[in-house]
Amino acid sequence: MKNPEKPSSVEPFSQPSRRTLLAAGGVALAGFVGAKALGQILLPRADVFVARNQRYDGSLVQTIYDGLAACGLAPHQFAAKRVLLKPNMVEPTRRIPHMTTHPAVIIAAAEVFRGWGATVTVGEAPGHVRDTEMALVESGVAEALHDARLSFADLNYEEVAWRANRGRVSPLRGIYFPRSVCEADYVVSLPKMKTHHWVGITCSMKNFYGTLPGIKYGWPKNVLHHNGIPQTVVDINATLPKTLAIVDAIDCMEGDGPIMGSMKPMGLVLVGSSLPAVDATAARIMGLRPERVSYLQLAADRLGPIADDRITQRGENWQELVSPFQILDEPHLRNLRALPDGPLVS
Amino acid sequence: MNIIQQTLDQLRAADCCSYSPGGPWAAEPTALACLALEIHHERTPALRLAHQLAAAQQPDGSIGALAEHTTPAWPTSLAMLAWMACSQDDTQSTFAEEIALAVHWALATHGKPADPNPQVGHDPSILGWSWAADTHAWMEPTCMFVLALKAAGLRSHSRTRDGVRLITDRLLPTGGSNYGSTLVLGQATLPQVQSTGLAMLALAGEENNDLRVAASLDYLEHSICLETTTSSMCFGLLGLTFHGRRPPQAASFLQQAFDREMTRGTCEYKLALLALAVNEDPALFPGFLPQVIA
Repeated sequence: MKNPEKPSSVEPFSQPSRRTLLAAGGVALAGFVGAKALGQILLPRADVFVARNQRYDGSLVQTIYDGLAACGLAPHQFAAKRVLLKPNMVEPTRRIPHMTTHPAVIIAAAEVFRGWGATVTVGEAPGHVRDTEMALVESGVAEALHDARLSFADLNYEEVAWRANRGRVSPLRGIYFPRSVCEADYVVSLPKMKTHHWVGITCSMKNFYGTLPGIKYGWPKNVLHHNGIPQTVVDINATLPKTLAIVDAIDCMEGDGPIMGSMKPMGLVLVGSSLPAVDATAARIMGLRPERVSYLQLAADRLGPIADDRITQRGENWQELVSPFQILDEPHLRNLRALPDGPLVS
Repeated sequence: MNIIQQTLDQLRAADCCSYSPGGPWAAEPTALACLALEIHHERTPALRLAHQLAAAQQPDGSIGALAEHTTPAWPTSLAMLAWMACSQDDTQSTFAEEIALAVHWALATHGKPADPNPQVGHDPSILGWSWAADTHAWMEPTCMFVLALKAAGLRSHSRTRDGVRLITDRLLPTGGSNYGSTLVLGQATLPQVQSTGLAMLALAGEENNDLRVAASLDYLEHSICLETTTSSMCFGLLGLTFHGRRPPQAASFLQQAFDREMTRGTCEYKLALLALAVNEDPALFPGFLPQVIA
């Protein structure tokens, strides 16, 4: 390595003394630390509510009400607003009820928002089936909506409108959304807490793939895959109207999710208005490291916090609820585990 | 059958064919309604819808799925079927230019192939058709274009043969098919009636000894029942009918579906499917049309 040349003339007065140097360094360091601390303070925080001992035939309305209130949401915010509830009905079959959001969670959420004066619609664009009626019937949602006199919006086939991509993480310049999504004041993700064989976990953020219309993106929505699953998850979430999450984590799916996995009873409901924070908390409960989940990495600090020290737990503490989910023994999934001996399944 | 008359009554009056009551105009319901009307000898309303499709055709031959959207253009396949059905006894070759343009577009368009990947069971290198441009080929659009090209007399064209190969490749190991995925990370995916019915329709008339075809027909026979939802039921019955395995209860299944549709308010898409599935004679369906273009 070549030594740097000495300057030809020395200007002593311009040379700081060792003490001055130390003092200046101290100020700079203090400034840096202060700026970092200030940055930490300015970085967004979020509340996530977790309820345990939940059942589909239990008091879900009260749980959801409590959760929304604990996260700072008040009834007047929803008065005369249009709320679109988006359950997960990707590929329903009666044989695998733990794949899809339980109708009881949908109906309870609708009751809460209706009680607060909102106009509530349930909408979904199933990703793997063109026959949306089949998805409704197989998931049990059709009957539940009929009984509760709730309207359903088939997001796969509605009129569509283009919105500029506010996330700009993927190459997509804009995203087509169905009319019901564009007109909603709030879009509420009602996912099932599940493992996912490509991205590790699917919860409230990934569930919003189902807000995009098949009539523009296909079955599956392969346009999104080609533009990057993590990237488009973030872009969709960034571009939607105001969002909330109410997670069906009562009977969950582990192993080969999101379709073929096994049931894992957890008895939980998660609620929050920061979807990255909700999903990060879900991941921790599932024994996964959210900072290693690609779309949560991308969402962090863009859309909301995923760091534990920036999430205020309401209700139950997640640490007491951790029950590691089995994940597929695949190279792209193994390192998502919080513990190296977390359960794997072939 | 009573439902034929009732569905045709509604389709005859249809001016904006949609997937839902009061929904936006869409090319697929329009093409299916045109087909249904034509095979039931309702020529004037069929031609009206065929002309709507012609008006929606782009200079490159494609037709967008929704009004004022030029992409995606997979319904071009169904418009081809509709125009060809309307051209069977047409001495003036009313839609010859539209058909030729559409065939040209269909043959020039394909899903993005990929090298075989051990993580998935199907062969992504086989050329088929995609839902949207610059994405992979999937089961249902490939079925639609295979049907359209066969009806256009291009049964032996390499693209049609590749399409048939893709459809067979995407059948599940134990029969049935879905959107077009067979095994993912070693796990078999789930079959669906609608996709399987369309796949069987597209494979009808093929000399195909693949055991998965017979297993897929068995799957349809065992799956379709009174409660099967309308579009799945219709595609499933079409698939079985064109393999000579129409179930004896088909009429009562369709009546049940029709009654449900009438109770809750239906749309042209489902009425058209019902009118097509009611048809028991495969010779009337455009997949078996005589060659109408050179």
